[in-house]
Amino acid sequence: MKEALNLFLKSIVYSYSAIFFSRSRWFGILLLSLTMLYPAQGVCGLFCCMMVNSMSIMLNLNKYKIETGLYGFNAVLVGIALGAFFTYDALLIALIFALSVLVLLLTIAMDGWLQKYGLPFLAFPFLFCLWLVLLVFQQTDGYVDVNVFPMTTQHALSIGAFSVESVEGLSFCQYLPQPILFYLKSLGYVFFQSDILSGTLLMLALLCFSRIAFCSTFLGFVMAYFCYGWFEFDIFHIPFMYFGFNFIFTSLALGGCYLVPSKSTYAWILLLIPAQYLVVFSSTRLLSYFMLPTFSLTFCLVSVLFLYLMKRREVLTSPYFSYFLEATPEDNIYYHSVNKERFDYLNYYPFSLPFMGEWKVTQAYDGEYTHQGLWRHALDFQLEIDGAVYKDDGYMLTDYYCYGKPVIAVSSGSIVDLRNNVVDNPIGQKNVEQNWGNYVLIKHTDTLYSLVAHLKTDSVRYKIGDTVRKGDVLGLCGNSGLSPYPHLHFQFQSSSYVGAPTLEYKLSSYFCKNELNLSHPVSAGIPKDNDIVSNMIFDSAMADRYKFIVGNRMTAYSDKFGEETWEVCMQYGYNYLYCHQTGAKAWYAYREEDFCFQRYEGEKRSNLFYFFLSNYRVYFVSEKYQLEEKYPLTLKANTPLGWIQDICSPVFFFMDYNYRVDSMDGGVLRTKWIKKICKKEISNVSFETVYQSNQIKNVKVSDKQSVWNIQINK
Amino acid sequence: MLIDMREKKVYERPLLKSIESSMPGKAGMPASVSVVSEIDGVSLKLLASKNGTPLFVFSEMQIRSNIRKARQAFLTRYKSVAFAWSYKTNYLSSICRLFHEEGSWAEVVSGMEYQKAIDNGCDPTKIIFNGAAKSEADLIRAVQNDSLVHIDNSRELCLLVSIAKAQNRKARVAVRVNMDVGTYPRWDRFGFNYENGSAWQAIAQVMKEECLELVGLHCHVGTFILSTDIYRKATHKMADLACRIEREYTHSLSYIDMGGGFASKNTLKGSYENGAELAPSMDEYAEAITSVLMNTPFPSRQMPMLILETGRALIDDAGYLLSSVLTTKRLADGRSNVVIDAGVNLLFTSFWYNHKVSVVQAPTTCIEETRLTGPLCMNIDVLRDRVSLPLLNPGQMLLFHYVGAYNVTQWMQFIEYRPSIVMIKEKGEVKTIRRPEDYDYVTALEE
Repeated sequence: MKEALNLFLKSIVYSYSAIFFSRSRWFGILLLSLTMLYPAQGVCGLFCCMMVNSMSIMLNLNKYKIETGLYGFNAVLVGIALGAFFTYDALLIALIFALSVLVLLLTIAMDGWLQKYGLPFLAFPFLFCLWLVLLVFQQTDGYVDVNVFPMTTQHALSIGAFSVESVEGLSFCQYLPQPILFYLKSLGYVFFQSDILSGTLLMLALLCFSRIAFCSTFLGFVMAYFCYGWFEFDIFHIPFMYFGFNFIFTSLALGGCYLVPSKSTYAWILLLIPAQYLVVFSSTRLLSYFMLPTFSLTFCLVSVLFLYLMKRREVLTSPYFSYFLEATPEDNIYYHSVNKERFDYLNYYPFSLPFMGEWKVTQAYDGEYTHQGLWRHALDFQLEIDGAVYKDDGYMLTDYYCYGKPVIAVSSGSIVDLRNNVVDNPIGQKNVEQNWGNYVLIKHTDTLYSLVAHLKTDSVRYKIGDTVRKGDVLGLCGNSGLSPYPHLHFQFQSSSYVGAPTLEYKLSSYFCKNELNLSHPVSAGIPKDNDIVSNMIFDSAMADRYKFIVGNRMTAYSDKFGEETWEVCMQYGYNYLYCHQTGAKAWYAYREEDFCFQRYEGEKRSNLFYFFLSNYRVYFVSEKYQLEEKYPLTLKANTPLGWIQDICSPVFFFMDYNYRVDSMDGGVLRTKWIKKICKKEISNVSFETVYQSNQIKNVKVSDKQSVWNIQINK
Repeated sequence: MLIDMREKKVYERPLLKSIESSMPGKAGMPASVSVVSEIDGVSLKLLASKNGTPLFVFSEMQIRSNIRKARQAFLTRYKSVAFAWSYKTNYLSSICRLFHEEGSWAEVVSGMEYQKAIDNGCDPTKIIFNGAAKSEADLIRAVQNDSLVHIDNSRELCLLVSIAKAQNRKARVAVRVNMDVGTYPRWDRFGFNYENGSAWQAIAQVMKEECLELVGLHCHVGTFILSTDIYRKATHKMADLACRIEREYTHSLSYIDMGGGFASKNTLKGSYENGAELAPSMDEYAEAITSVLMNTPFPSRQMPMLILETGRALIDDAGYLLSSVLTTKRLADGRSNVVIDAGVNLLFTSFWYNHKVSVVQAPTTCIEETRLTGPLCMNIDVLRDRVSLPLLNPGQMLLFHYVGAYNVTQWMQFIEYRPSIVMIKEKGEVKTIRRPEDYDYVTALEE
């Protein structure tokens, strides 16, 4: 019962915030109170919303969608519209009941239809409901109170050009430039409120909720306002105020909520303005036959169509889709900017390097010798010690360190072609007739094949049709075919023919050594010339320390934040640590290779937050490595500088929060959180994670002011 | 050989030598004298003038190159390999730390070595505790720190059970196995025997105990083993045990520890051939061990990690002993006897090796069979009984090669002070890694 009540309350609040594609509790409550500026409308909206949400809960509809207000926000709008249009009597109450059912029916229908295409249903249910009501009542004098809402078709047409001053009560407004004034008023009309005060309050709420949302809506609106002159068709004299909020919502949906804000989303917002004008005017004309206003049809139609267009792209480039629908545009842009690199490996089938140990790339993609034209996406490897690839004078095949070393399968698959009988060339000679020499071609998926070539004579132990697993030894590195010196040739291709064009494809989870002989983990990448690369060798002891079992609890104590209880939870297949004291959540992923935190929500003055920072990504290897990654800037405090960064973020970043793994020494993991402004380090916090047998024992945090410990007990 | 003309020419004392006009023997012409005047670009004369002689010199470059070559030899053939630095071979902290920097674990055989490994920053879970005589206190500590304990005997097994129970922990252990692989003498005093079934008995006992986790198997078939075939046989037997454990207990081992015993470039006494040419290369050892493991059908298909504890082969050629001639004299049979300032007190391994000796200065034209004796007033203090060297004068210096293993751990404070040890860093900088002893040091513990 308590759970149901909790769900119900959440659904109400989030129904309000969902109007602005948000899932913020305070934003929802603020919006709810804003609607109460016009109490009658506000109560109708709330009532309608409660009706729809309680019905949804009773009908056991999708809990997540109920909770996030997805089923309720159309109801809020319908309720408020009813309150605005109708006088208050029994009929209104009856109408609200009737429309609650109708809006639920339409919401579920639209959701069911559009979710197949991965598209949102936006305010379509609201539109249809309102049109139905107006079709019934607009002819009947006395019911529709046109004075409250001056925007019905008759009204708009009858008064001709709409004048702001006539409804304006606040004196300061006359000093505001018209676009700003219109922007504020249009915001107010979202809740059918026609004064500048509610618009201003809404704008402030929006600004606090998201700087990017405010900027993109303002930009979209003002640009549209200035374009009005070009598109004004005198036939109707439809005033800008009458449809302006469509631009606000299109900009909000596309410029930050459904897509990751960027230069390209801003460009699209501008590009879509003419199309929206066309829809506004044509729909107004069409609907005028039924004496219906167009309301937010333009926004709904254009946004959905544009999102569909974005989904049909074959290569995903900017604009990217958002990760989290209910987050702020800031969350989306900051997480996106970080995740693009951090989780790039998810876009690739995991392939390892085709050998064991550390090899040097002696010819990479677009190499200077043979990796050219259709065969440019290939890699050559050799072994090197102290800067030389061979010992003694290098006249014998066996002088080459790589000669005779095992070559392994990069992933599981079946062998579709191989050759085993080409004789190894003496040093310096090439065999151009059988230029691949001895090779093994493995089919991994229908369109992904890997080829290793120039193998040693008679070293392949398989036959065509055999299946191999990742790491199985296919043969030995040799010098057959077009190979004057022993080396290993490796490439991906998309068909089963030897000699087919090569394919660009990233390899996963390998180490790359730098000039200082330090290993850098690469989660997905393509080795470059002279890189020294090796497969990661996983350390199960390290992995055990991060194996959190769902349902388990641990305590974390520090002098600074006291004791916290963390519970390992799972939702929709994703894991997170939940802090019982603060309600904070730290989402994480656990793979064979690594443990990494993906996202942090909630209270930042907590032990969990510092644990999130200190163990942002940990590879399960015993080798020493250095790693630098970026934290999402959502971690930054709410400062003026932070707000400036928010505003600039679609274009450029001047703040950086970096995570660095310095070393793993004596069983202690040393990591750092480095804050940078304009690439210059301004401060850092360092962490030392100490383990005891198979668990994490302690995290020592040291910053400028203090040094303190978080003790963790399973 | 370039001779610096500005240098004062070496005085050559007169020598009477009978002319040998017979055919060269099958060993060929008499050995030539090797001249080494610098290590990694650092002049030995300069080293001696700054630090005095005798002096142990270690080359960081050589150590790193050795471990990297060894790692490459194994890691290009087998997916998961760890080297555990055998502390007893050389536990100078600077040297251990180099190995740890290069990714080596630690293999210790006493509480003292264990403490050293901890102090050198080694992750306690990557310390392997071997040995036939671990004390209870040592075991308590190892279990507390979750280190890997390699069980040598039944008493130790029982002791571990009670310790683990008392601490309420699961101790991570491995069973040391000895076996017949055709070496003589057989190393059967460490661990449990494979052939007579006591190894399996010990494994069964460990598997039965709730408080012990069997993570690995360990063997060490001998020392200075010149045949890779022995490792092939040993690996077969170890893999066989690991498979049997998987089949009977559905328990996969984390690792198989093949111990060490790889030969260095030293020449054993009594060996006819030169050790540097006789010893198998690291690649040959690696091929022998990994090929057996790669071809073993582990039921779980999970390949255990391979651990190697080779010490000698990684450090011997990185250590040198620089010594000066004190005096020369003739023995009763007319042989030349050269007394130098380093004796068996410093070069313990000279009991079983014929160390390679180089001269530091340009040689004189004459070569004479010489006996090298140390400064101790003991008849056993002979470093080389017969070695062809030029005519040496007091003050001239000799360089002993391949002395990195066991000497600076087994050396004695006996009659003389032990000298300082320097390391030539990668950029040619010389660092003292152990200061010379003095009177206070020697008497410090006395009442």
